[in-house]
Amino acid sequence: MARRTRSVETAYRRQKFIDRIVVGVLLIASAAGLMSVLPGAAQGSVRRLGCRIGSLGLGACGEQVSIASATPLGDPRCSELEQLDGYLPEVSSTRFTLPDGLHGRLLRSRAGDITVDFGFLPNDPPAILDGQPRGTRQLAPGVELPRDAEWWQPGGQGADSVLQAIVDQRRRYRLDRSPLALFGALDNRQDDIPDPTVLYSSTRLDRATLPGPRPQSTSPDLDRWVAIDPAPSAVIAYNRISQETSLIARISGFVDGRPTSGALRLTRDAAGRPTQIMVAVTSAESPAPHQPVLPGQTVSTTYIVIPVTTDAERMLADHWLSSPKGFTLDLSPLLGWTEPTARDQLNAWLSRAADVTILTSASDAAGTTTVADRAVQELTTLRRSQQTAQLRRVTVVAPQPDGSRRVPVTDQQCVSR
Amino acid sequence: MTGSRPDNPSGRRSLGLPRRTLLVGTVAAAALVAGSTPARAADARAGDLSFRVPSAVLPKTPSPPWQWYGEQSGGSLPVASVLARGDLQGASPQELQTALFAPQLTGNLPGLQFDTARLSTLVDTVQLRQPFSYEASHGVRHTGVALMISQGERAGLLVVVGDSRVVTAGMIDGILGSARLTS
Repeated sequence: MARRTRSVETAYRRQKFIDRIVVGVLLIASAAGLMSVLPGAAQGSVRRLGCRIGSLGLGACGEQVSIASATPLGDPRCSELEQLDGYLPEVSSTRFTLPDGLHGRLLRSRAGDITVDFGFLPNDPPAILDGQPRGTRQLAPGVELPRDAEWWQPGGQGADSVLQAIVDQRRRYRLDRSPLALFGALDNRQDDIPDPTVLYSSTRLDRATLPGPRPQSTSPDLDRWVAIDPAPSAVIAYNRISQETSLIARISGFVDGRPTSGALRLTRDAAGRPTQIMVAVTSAESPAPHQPVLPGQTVSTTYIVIPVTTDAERMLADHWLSSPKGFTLDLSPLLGWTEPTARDQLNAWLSRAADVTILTSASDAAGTTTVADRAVQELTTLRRSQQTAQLRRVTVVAPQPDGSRRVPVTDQQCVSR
Repeated sequence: MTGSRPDNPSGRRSLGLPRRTLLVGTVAAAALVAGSTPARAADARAGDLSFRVPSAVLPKTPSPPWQWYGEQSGGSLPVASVLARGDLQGASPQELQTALFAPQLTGNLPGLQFDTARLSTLVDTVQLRQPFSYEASHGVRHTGVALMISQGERAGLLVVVGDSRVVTAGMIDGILGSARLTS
């Protein structure tokens, strides 16, 4: 009798055990079914929550970040834009959200260079010569990043590490403040955020730093010109990878009696030698000769790129940049209005060397002021945002190796219809 | 012959005249040394930056952005100027170099020319020396060297510039070589 009772109890327990397994499987299947209904982001959150509970908050729980989402750009529409892309790359902008809800943008050029942007565009960089510190900005509790700095990663290499380090530092901060901080001591990984690769600062142009004569400020007697605007502070961009330092200053002037403005970017190498001078000038109409007026409101940005490669060019450039009257650029020979004279060494060189690209776009309500600010921003960050939809005309004025008059050429195939 | 006394009874050769000459010479040299002004140097400090300047360079009131300014006057224009700032933070030597010479674009440093800059790194101290020259007044060209120095987050700037007949390579090396970032 007793044996029979034991046998019934054993069978009952076995059945109960099997029932529990069946219920467990059904629960898992139901959870999986519910998960499949949820959107992808929510699925990830649930999975991470489960992982965190399972690992007592110590696991990384798949918080890997990828730059693979950075949208690649298609080929440039024409050779003129491709050439400009070599000096001032167009970038695509892709928003990303880190696991902690931190937002940012990946700016990717056609060459594959990626800039990790957290909205810290150089707005009012520190005046380093006056002792202003760079300072930091809190991206999120526990994550502080240097102000006025960027992570520009050539070929995109290292961008993943920057994002991962930010995620890890945030996780570490949370862990240190959780009831499981004791367990956190076992996790001794040091996830320092890599140093930024581009640093921005500012400096005054209207203040003499060394003993010497006062500038001779006079307006040039020219039809089309730009000169340095001494009042606004200039921005310094130091690239720690290329070891190049650029000075970006605002310029203003007149084109056919109408005021114009823009920016100058002077780049020097590690030895202090000038390597490139870039100018961006904005105007309502194309400043080049023989350009038909386009219907509707338009705005033009003229990009002038002057590579400085030889010792003779460096001497000419240094002499030009340190004129007692300040930096002035005569636009007429560059745009094809006049022919440089043989005695004018500077304009003869510029006529032989400078690449000029004029982009004319449909104007928005803000007009040239916004475009001028955008030109300053472009030369500061050395990248252009996508504006192909608004592009109405692309004109280039190519260098003339023989020093003859330059001719503007418009590529009709380059704009959208 | 009779009664004549020998000049040197001991038979040794007389050294009287050369000894007197030597004595006079020694006294004259000692007087010259005592009377001359030795080349002295004085300690100077601008923020965290300490350096030594020749005594001929006299401290004056600095104007922004400088913390320390000294000059050796020589008429309307100082023949030697020393300018320093040592409280800069988070600035790389290359940024300071660009900031220092940026006013060239507005005509403040006419005829500015650079020689090749020299970058040196020792442990955590980075130094950049930039030789330069410019037209300090009509027809007068001044030469100098700017030293940009950084150590961790701290940075300083020291410039020696003036007439090349006064501001020699030795003087520049003496001042810039003594520059230290101290706490």
